[in-house]
Amino acid sequence: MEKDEITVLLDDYRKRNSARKLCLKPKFNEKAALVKFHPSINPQIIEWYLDKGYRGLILEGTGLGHVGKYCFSAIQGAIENDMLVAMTSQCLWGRLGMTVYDQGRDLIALGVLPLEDMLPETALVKLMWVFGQTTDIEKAKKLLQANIAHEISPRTLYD
Amino acid sequence: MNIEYSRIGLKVGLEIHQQLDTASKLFCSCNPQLFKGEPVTTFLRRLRPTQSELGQIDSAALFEFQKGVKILYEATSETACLVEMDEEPPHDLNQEAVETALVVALMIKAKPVDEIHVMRKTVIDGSNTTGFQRTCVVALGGEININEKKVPIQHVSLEEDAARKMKEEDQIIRYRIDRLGIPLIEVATSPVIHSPQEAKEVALTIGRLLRATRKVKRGLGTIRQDLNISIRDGALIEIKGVQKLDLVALIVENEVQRQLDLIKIRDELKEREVKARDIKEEFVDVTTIFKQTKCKVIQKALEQNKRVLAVKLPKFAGFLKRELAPGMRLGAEMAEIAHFWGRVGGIFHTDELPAYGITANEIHELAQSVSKAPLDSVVFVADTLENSNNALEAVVQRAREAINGVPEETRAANLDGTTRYMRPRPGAARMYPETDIPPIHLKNEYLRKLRDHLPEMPEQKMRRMKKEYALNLKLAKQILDSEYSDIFEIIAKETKVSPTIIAVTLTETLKALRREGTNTEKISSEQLRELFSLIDSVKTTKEAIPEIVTWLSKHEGATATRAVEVLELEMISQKELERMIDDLLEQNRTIMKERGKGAFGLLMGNVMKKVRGRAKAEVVTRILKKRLKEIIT
Ligand SMILES: [Zn+2]
Repeated sequence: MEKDEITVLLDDYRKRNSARKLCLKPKFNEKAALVKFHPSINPQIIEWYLDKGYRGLILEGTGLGHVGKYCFSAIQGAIENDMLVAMTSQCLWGRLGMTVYDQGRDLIALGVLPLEDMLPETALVKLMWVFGQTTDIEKAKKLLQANIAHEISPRTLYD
Repeated sequence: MNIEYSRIGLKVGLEIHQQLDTASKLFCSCNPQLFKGEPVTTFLRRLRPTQSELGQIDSAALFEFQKGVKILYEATSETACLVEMDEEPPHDLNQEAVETALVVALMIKAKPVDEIHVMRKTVIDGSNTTGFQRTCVVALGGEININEKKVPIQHVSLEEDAARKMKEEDQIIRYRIDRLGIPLIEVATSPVIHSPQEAKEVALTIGRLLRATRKVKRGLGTIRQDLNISIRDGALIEIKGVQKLDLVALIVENEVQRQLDLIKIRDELKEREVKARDIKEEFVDVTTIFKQTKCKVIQKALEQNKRVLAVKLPKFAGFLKRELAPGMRLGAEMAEIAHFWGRVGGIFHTDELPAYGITANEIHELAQSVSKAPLDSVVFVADTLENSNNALEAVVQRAREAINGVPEETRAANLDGTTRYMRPRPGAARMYPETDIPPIHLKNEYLRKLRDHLPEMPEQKMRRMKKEYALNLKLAKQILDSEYSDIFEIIAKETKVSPTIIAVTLTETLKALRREGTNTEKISSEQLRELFSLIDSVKTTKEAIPEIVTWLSKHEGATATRAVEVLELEMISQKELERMIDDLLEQNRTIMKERGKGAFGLLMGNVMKKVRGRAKAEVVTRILKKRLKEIIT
């Protein structure tokens, strides 16, 4: 803001719809976690979250959305036990591209949800909120991937 | 020229590329629109062809690369993202585009593939930031019917459009990447078309089919047709980028003529006993001859320390200036090839001299320096030593090819129906898999759904339009072939204006206005709808249409209501009309006395002139008749 003038930085800024009625949905479910992939990570962390009854996991993968192959079986186990596992990238200004390398394609085949360019922390909080709204995993997946308030931008620009 | 096309073995295949009107581009979410004005950003690239990823480099591209050509890309943030810049992998294949291509495929009874595999087609002229164009076959086979004849379709594909070339200056080529990635549907026929007229009809029919999907863009530059043309004894020539349907027949005619004349030159060269080995790459530096020249081009070159190199083409005299097809000569083809390989502005040849300020004396000295015999031709260029050498090598190569007749090449279409050399024909193995995008499986269930909801076939639509809107055949055809058939139906449904009037406006009136220079492409569907709703609610009249349309074409985004206001074309109220008629009658009292009822025609004409289309003739007639009757009795 500069001299009473507001500069809108988003080019697809959505104006508030004044006709819309406010409806508060404040419920959160804390059984969601964020795991950042790094070399030497112990995949048992994923198993631990599963054991503790966590419902969802946001992975913060490298580059286009990868984790080491040695984590695959833990991820598979989590998904088979109805845990929602979604991918974000450590490259905060970048976007996932999970069909470029086999690693990404394999993760998608396991059932990992790609979240485009959603920030890892945003994804975590969103996932907590999502499980506050629904207990149905399929509905939760749809809601997590829906672009509700600009947490996903369909285009990455150069500047 | 009367050519029996069946006797010369003419074979034409058509490839139609049409931009789709999707919400976003083929591999990203950018807006598939072109931008006007200045780019917000530019970036410079060099292409480095590699033999990797199974791709094969074509010699022309390698050559460009070795010459150190740089490419400057222009972009705005609305029309390009990191995908077009090749800084981010492509996103998923646009489903809307796939569906449109499938609909077209099913309409022509082609067989959709089980899996769509996106491929990369090597393109190293810089028109794609990646060095390749993404393309995928969506369906194979199928056919269309032209006058009882079946024309087989080879495939229906989807492609990303290339960047558009804006400028070429020395070592830098400028491309705008707004067009890059716009979805194109490609429909390719087998080479079974045997006359120019037939080629036109095939193009027309495919165009109608594409428009029937209602998912194609309209306007110049949104459709591009490539033609493959060959005749017996000639060669397979690929002509790229025909932008207008009207040009298809003419381009085929011209290409046939060009090939026939090249064959004639071949025969005459044979009679003169010219052999390929006689045409030697012996380039003579003749710079000193032109030290005092009056020729501006050479003067300028010499000021920049460039050289003049000459080569002798034995027994070629007369051939270079001979017209092949209207506007195309062998000399001009050599110049185009010299430009391609040597980046020279042009070539000089003795067939067209003296001219351009070059004197008979200079020509004489030139002839001596290369030992020119009377039947020989001399070609020379003024450029850097390297460019001149490259250019003359290309000229020699082209002269040798003339001995064999027609060389295979890719040519580009000009707007006047002529063509120009573009590049040598690329090798066949230019495709390799796009590894960033997994194959897309087409489910039977999905295809069945599409098949059950295909759009109306054009013939069917024509019959229906004739019946439903009581249009005559000519008008029904015109509206169907225009870009306005959808908007016509919308307007005909939402207003009570006579469909014939709507159809005439959208075809003949717009055509007449175009001829007068009105840019009717600027008129939006919304403006047209509003215009007819104004006519429907008697806020203006159909007589005012041309004036309103012309105004709207110059005021993009303005409303028809505003046009009516500005042009003062609102309907005159009944009261005002009555007052005007009364005034007029008052002024013409004597005429009325003399002629009585017979004055009607004259008075009517006067009123109509005064109201300038702002009153309906029926209403004027009614009031005028009533008043006349009152006055006379
Ligand atoms: Zn883009």
